[in-house]
Amino acid sequence: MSGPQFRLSAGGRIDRAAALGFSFNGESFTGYAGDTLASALLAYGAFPLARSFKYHRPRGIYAAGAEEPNALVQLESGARSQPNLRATQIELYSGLNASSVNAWPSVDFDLMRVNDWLSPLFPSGFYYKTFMGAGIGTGRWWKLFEPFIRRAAGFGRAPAGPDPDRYERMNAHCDVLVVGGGPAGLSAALAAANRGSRVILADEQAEPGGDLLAGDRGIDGAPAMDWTATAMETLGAAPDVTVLTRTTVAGLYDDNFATALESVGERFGPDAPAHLPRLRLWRIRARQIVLATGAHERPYAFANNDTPGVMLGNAVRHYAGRYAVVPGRQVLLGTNNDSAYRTALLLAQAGIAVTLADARESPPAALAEAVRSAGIVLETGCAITAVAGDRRIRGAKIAPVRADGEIAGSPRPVDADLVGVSGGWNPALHLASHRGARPVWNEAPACFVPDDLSALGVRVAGAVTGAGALAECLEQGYAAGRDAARAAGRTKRIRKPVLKTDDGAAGAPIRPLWAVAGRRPGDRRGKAFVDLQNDVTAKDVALAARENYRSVEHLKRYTTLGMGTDQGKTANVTGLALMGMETGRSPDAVGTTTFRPPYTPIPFGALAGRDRGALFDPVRETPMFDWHAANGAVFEDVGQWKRPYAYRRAGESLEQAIDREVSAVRNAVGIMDASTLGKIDLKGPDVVTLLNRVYTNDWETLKVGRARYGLMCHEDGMIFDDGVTARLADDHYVMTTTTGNAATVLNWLELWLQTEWPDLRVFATSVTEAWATATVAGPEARKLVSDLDGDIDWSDEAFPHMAIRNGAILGAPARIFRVSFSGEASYEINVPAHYGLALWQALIGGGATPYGTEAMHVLRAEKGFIIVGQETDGTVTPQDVGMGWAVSKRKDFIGKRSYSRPDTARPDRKHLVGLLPLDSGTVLPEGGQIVNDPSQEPPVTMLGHVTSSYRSPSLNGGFALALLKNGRNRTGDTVHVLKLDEGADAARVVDPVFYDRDGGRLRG
Amino acid sequence: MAEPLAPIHPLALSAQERGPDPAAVVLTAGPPLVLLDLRCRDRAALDGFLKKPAGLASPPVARAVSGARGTLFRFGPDWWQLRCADRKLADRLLQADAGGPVGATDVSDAWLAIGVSGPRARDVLAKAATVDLHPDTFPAGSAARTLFGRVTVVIARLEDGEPAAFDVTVSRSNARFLWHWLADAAREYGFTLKPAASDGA
Repeated sequence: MSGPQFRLSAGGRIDRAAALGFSFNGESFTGYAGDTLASALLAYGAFPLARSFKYHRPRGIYAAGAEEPNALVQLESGARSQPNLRATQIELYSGLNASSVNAWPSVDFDLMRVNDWLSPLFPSGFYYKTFMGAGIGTGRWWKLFEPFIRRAAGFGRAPAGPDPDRYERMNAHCDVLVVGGGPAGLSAALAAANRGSRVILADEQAEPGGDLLAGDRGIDGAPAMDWTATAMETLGAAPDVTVLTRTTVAGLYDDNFATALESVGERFGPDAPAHLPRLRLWRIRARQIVLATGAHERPYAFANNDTPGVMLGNAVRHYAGRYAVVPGRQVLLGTNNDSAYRTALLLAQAGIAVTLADARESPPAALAEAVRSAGIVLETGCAITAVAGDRRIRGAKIAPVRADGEIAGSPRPVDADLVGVSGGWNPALHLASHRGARPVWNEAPACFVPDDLSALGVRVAGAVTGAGALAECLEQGYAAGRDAARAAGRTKRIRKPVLKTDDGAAGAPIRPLWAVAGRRPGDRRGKAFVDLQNDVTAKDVALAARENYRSVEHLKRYTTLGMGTDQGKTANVTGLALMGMETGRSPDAVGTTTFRPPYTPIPFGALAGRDRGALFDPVRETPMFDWHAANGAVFEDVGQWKRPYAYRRAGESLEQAIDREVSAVRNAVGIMDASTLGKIDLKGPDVVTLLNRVYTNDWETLKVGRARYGLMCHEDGMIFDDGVTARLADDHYVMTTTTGNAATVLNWLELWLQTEWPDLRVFATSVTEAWATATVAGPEARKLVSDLDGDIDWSDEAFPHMAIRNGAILGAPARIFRVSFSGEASYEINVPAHYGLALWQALIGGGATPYGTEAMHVLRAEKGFIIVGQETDGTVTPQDVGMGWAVSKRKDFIGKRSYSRPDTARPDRKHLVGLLPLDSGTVLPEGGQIVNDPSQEPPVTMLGHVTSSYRSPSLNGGFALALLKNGRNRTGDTVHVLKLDEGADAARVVDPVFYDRDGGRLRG
Repeated sequence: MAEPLAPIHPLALSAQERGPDPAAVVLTAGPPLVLLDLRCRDRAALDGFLKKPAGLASPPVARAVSGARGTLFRFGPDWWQLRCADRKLADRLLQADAGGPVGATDVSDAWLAIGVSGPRARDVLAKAATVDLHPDTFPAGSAARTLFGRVTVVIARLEDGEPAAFDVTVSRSNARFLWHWLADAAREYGFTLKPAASDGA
């Protein structure tokens, strides 16, 4: 690659003192600070840097902003790599490394170009017709071709490893959000800020200015960028104005909630300071919004209009004015409106030879005079019909065209190596569309504009309204900013600024022109592209019309028009105008597809923000967590809680650890961290009434100082939670819940108290976290707790099973429940949470063996105690699990009436039973289906499933709990439990209580 | 066993400084709290209950009032929380509630406070809080019980002063997660951690 020969010797908003080396497709280049990747590459010429999606034709840079369809690159490599970024929006940094996304094996030699030469075989709908249709068949052929097609149609590569970058999210609130920092947006921001509003101005470029950045506009007799600089100073000095540059508002939602993506560390590349996020996703809640989003220039189509060197006319202007780059010596500009005249004048000033072909017969006299006197060749009544060349332009042709775009005279050659095309302007109404705006066809500028959204607090200003003149943009911006501020309650009166612009005399209307020839089936002049990113030609649109895919939605799906990463920003309106011509309708009768967020793609990292790694989801730790972690605990997640599953000692398997812990509780004393159990403090004279209504059993008889187990059901009679509730004083109870249901049960109580029983005088307060709980269980439990200094009488007579005592242990206040989930004598000692770890250490010091949740599961299953959510699944009644004894016949409670339903009353429901594998070495699979006959031909009769299954050191073998159809009447039967892979284990149906059936051990 | 138990604070981490400007955000682990949840359906009755012992009148929802003996937050129509200056006040109120219209429950160890101060304090909180913390809408005396990401917190601004200092109350079990979260979020600006003394005093 020869040097940056297309960089003008002066001008532009680049810092020529700051040269930046970078690499593209393995070659070295140099640009300047202030360049984009696109402008730096264009300084070396308009060479191909991408291959097209379907035909793999060489493509060059086409636009200067977010609408770029061609120049998609893979930025950086490895884990930090990002696919499909627009070269036009990547700020150049030293050492930047990028490559083309869609070329195999390379941009210069692309094997897939064969698709272009075979293109008569690949019309629109080819893939549907060939691979998905009924003809060749769906399954086998598609499997064969899919990888090839996917590769051929590739758009970049996902990064290979975990993303090493940081991403932030930020919530912001403002009176007025202004989207777009061009003249209209700046004007709006000033009008709102000067009235004292809290303003956020978001602009996607490195510096605000929008169209003014081209540097050829004037305000008040000075360069317009001077006005921009003053405006930025004013905004910077206002206390409640946030200017977000490099920030793209990606979506607007109900209540004027907006998302915006800010590029923060990205512009520094891989060497960005470590503390900076790569990107920041803003979540902005705005009272009022001003959309000053500007407009995208649209081309008209002609033969081979995708050749590198064909660009949007205004992009040529921006590269020349802002970056001092003109990638050609002889420029042909094709236009149908006034805007290309500024481009022509700017180029002529830079000494470039320019031919301007205006499709209109009579351009405005003042403009014609201005360009002719600048030495520009002006051809009126002519449009570009074709360019010659493949990898670069070797000339072009112009000719008069009819209203339908067909050529009306013989084309004349024009020397050109750079072509700019301007077919009019499409307002960037994407965000207005997110808020529900309907695009309305506006004849004069021949474009869709958003309809009025001011009732929603959304106003539009500038080119997005179809406005062309700078004065009009400034005026609209001011009015929108003022009205938005007023609507947000900022009514301060400010004198309106008077600005004099260089707009000149009134212009002439556009002559709508969508495609020059190229639409008829027999046309052999070359492909005339409408959608460059998706390789959709004018002929494809005509084909869709002929095959009756005439609705705009069908047109999109059939041809892929408007799909891809650019979502048809330069293509949509042209495509549907052509469809209108094919079908004799105006563009608005064809309609538009709906724009949906995001405006430009958002990397997943920005959406994830900090929700990854250790901070992915909140973690809840008990006060004893650090001890567990330091002593071999293997944790399991119970909701957000980290609970020790088992404590592994050196050289021990997990199974051995669990056996050891179970044996310690059965034979000596174990302690478990039960702090996670839900605890709800209940106060008030009507607590007992509440308990009677939410629990299935009777609470009238519970005395102060005693505790009782209860089952809670939903209205359908199905078990929903269980736990022990104790009476602390006449009007004061404390309810315990399962760990996972602590918040749900509190909400359940509040629901009934607030909506159905507001007459009940009960206050329910969560005290789960106020207490740390250590369960001390085993035949030596009482000896251990008795050794703790304190004022509790631990004797069985003074403190029997199902009693509760308050007192002091080792100087800390304590509340002790004597309850048992293990079948052993057991004390649940609660101390204020800050004392939890110290209590735990004291108990360990006393010789207790810590046990985890798995040992707890084994211990309780040996006793036939259910776990809600394991033995129950929302379809299980108390009677099903053999707990009819806990269901009162005397009182009413939630769920009671459901027990008279035939289905809950029938005797052969699934019952909780015990299962003992015939081979005691077997541990039945949890979830395993139970059948009578494992060799039965399908459909196999399913009788239930294994709900819990463990190995028990006490029983010296496997055992299980199960829900079995008619199970209580099948004791002694042999059933079979299907394994996951194949085969079945035989097991005997037994009583679900496997250990200490008479409960003697509870007394300790 | 006779060695008395010592309370232990979960935010007793070693002090450290990180990021470009260590003064930009200061995270301070608050001391152990003495907290009562107060439930009452009759605001006048609550005011009567608190007036003498606490010297505080009930604030409206999402506000807090402070006095020499404590700070009173309001979380809901019938739900207040009193942060007591000392244990004695809490015990007195817990004794006094029996049979009356006020339900007082000791939730002291269920919550911890983290101070978030420094010129970028608001920015750090805005990374997860959706409440508008601008001084116009969140002046001194504001207290919002809200979701911070997926953690329930109370964000309060108890004192005047610029830049605003915030008091974030979080459940004890989530405190360490939030502490790490805040430190990570503050790294962009720079931060100083002031952890609790290891004895929790």
